[in-house]
Amino acid sequence: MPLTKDELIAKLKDAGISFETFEHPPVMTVDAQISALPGNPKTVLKNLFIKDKKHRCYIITALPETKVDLQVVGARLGVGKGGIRMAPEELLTAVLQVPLGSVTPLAIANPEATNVVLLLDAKIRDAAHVPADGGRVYVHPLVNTTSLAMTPGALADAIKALGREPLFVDLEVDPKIDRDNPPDLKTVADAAQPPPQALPEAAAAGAAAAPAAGADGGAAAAAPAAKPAAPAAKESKKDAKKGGGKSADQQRGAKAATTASLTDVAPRVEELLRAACAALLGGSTTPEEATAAGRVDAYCMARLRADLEMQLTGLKNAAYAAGYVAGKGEVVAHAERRFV
Amino acid sequence: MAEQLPNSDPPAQDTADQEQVVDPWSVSGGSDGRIDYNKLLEQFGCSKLTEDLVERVERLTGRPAHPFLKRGIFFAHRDLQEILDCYEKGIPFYLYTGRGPSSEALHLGHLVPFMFTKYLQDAFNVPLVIQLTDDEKSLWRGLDIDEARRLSRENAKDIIACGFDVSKTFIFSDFEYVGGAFYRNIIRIQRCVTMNQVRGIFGFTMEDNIGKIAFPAVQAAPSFPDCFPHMFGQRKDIRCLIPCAIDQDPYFRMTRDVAPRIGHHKPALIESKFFPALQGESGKMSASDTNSAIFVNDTPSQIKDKINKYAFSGGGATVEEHRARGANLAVDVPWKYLNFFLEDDARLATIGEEYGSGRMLTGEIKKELITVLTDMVSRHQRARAQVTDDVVDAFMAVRPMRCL
Repeated sequence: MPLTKDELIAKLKDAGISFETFEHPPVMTVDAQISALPGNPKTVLKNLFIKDKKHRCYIITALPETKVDLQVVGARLGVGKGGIRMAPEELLTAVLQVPLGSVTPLAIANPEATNVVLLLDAKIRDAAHVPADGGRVYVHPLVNTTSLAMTPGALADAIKALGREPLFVDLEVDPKIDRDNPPDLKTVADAAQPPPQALPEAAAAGAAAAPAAGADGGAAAAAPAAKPAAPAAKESKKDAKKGGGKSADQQRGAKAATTASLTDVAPRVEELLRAACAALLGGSTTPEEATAAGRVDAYCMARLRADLEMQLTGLKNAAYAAGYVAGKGEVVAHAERRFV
Repeated sequence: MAEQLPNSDPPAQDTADQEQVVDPWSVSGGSDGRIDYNKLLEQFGCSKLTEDLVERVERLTGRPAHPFLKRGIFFAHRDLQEILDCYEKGIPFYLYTGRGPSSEALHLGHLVPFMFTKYLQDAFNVPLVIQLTDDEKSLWRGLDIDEARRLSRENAKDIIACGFDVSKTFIFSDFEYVGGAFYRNIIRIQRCVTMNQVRGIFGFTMEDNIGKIAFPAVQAAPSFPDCFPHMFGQRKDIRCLIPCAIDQDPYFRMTRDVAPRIGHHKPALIESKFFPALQGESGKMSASDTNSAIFVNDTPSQIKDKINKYAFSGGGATVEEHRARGANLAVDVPWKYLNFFLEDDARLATIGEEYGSGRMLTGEIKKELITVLTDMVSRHQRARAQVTDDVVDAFMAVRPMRCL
């Protein structure tokens, strides 16, 4: 049973964690959360809910100005530069049991989230970023209508109280990874199990709904994480277009076959010819039968086939060109920060 | 040089006989105006494309060979065996062909190599690069450079209308693409070829401008996959097969000689005979003489007129003579054109029988041809109408193409 906000708060109080509670209207982004809090504190934590290509899930909790490059993190986790992406929205609700806009490190309190790895930004404990005396960080208690303010020490204690050993990681370092320098976070990743809801059979049901939603973490990560979010979002947008909401691995293998077969004109021509013959000549007459029986002149059938091929190729070219223009536009718009 | 250079033929018995001349800039027949392809094969040193090679292509691709292959229109090759061996072993190859965009008026003869290349792309499922040598036309014909660039894009539309696969096809103009990896290969090639060699191969003189002398390297370079890092990365193991008309052979003899010296595989070639002019093989097709060829923007009535009025007939002078002796298929242009464009082998064979024996009249074979050509040209025009500037941009974009 997922915890409610009140149950979570009660648990923390019982464990002797000290914190302040602030109620506010729902906030979907870090900026909105900052505006909603008295004094507009800058130490509101941003949260990214990530899935890797082996279906393992992670919450990355960081200060807003910390740059989180998903490609670097993916490499450090041992799944490669393209190995992690923002998790789809349905995983948020299924695994973390929180609605969109409410990702919090405290979500590990939920039993369904036992398999989720929590990576905390080392800068949270750094006095240069969060002052030692009285510096507070802000997290949601499973809902985005409340924020809890606590010292970094209290946050670490809270996580321990919820049954985890907090793991603080320098998120901005970009270490060289090669044979002599294995990925430094790989052991963390390998120790984790994929949550059952994140596995392909489960994900297939969730299909192509908002793949780039990736929780408030995605939106909240706007400024510093815009760069890593964009390629991940672009990739998942592509998945949606191709009708795949499946797991990363399956997507990669199936993508290659699917794209090539979907853009192959010849089988579609034959399909259309078969359908036309069946409709116009009745029964299940195939094109070959029709010409052999003299019902359709062989030359006319060949001409029809060639015309069909020409029309489908024309459509394919126009669609590809439109996609190319859109892709160019996306890159230009991103560089101009036009849609930020 | 490793391979045979064209040697000047000793004159035939009759000293008034004209030698045939075939090079990238001019093609003319021997004494009877016709091209002796066997002689050309020997002279150039290419191999004949035999029936068993055609059968092997059919077996490997799992589909009937293109009529151009079955009917010996593509009749010569260099190293096609090797390409097929590689294909069988899973070593990839790509296709390379091109056009010199000298005018907007493309005729059916121009389309032949592109139609064949499309078949090769579909049958083997391989990537393709198409070079538009706008620089060459500016150097040789003194074409205004911006006009040459414009013609590149216009010609690209007709090429695209032939039905290439946009996800595996890169079309480029020399004026836009030369640079980077492509230029580095041009220099590597140029280092290996002397003035003497190009003089021997192409007949350049001291009065030719230096662009002409250096140009052969630009046409040679696309034979090497590392000119296209967006398609092949840095790979040098990928083979290249070049479909072209036989008059382009000198460029690629030079290329094949240079290849091993710069650490590359030699490109393979598959070469075609020339497409006959309407007036017959002794006639010359030219973009300026509208009645010498069927052009891709001819209307149905223009096609009908040209075939009826100008297509050289091998039929008898009178109906009686024709019925008695039959038609001379060796010189009959409608018959030759049908060999190119009538796909149905059985129908073609029947026509050959009927016309050759005199049972079918010239008017009838011409009517048959007019139908085939009208349908083909109309389809091409409709396809070309759908090629927008965005489509051209997409084909010409230097975009990542994961095609192997």
